Amino acid sequence: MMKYEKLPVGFPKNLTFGSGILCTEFSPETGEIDASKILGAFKNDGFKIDVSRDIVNVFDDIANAPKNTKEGIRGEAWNVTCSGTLLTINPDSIKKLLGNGSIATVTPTGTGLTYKTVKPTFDVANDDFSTLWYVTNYTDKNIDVTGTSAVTAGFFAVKMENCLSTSGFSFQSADKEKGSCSFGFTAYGSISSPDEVPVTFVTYDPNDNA
Amino acid sequence: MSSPTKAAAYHAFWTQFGIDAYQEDTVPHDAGFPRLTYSFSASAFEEGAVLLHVNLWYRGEGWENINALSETISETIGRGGVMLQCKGGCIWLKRGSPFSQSMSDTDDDSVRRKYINIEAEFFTAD
Repeated sequence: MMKYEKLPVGFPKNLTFGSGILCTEFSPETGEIDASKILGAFKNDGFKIDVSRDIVNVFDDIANAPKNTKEGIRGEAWNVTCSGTLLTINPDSIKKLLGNGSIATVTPTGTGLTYKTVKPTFDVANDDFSTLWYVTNYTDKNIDVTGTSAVTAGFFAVKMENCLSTSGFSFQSADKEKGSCSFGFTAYGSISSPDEVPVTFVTYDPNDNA
Repeated sequence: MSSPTKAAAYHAFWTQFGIDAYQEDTVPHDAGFPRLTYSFSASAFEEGAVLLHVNLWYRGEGWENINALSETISETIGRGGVMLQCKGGCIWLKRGSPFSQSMSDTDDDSVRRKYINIEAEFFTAD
């Protein structure tokens, strides 16, 4: 066996599996998902979560300072985004993909039917921002074992706070295919807690709690 | 307790469904119905998914029992698959596509057979 082809000990415990889900509520304390809080059925190419930050080098404009020295580095804004593709739509998800809009139930007189409308609005309201959780399977133990109160399924979760759709509503149909909506959310900080970065990563390994 | 070998972990998975399970090359001559036979090949981390197949064998006129077991297996594996613990890591079993096909036996009209596709990924160093 070649010397430098080794894998870390216990590496399966650090793998994630499957495309995971995006939902509005998740409890890391119990590991439970309320299926009604899942945004919809997603395309099986999964989600992309990007968390990056803007970096500036305050020495850049000093002619006689060495280039790319760590002492000049200052961290600025964090950029937190999540994107994927929804295959299902309903009034709530359309509104969420629009970012801000209003849902109305219409009952035309004498027809006996009702339908719903979703209309974008110009102003972004405070309650248009919401928390989103991305949750997926983590570790080599990922099923609920019946008969135990312990959380037996590992998970990797990303809590993104104050999310707003920033890619808009983008629907694509195709002949003999399901329609799909690509989406992109951005998580924002808040002026009320300026030191808080709006993202938290959670890992739970049942092997650590056995 | 030491972890089972890959082959033993895979065999143990197929023994949970209430009928006899055999690796397809070692089916006893007097094996009865219903029974389950499976193929097995092993791999290692990032060395490619392995396509495996399983056959369910029932004898009788109807398809109800064999269809029910096929669905039970599908539900057990589920959308996300199942993880089998084995020596040095684990095996990720997923439903293949198509998952289940009904087949006949040219030698015996009363035999009902389901051919099931399984995809396996091995998360073991060796």
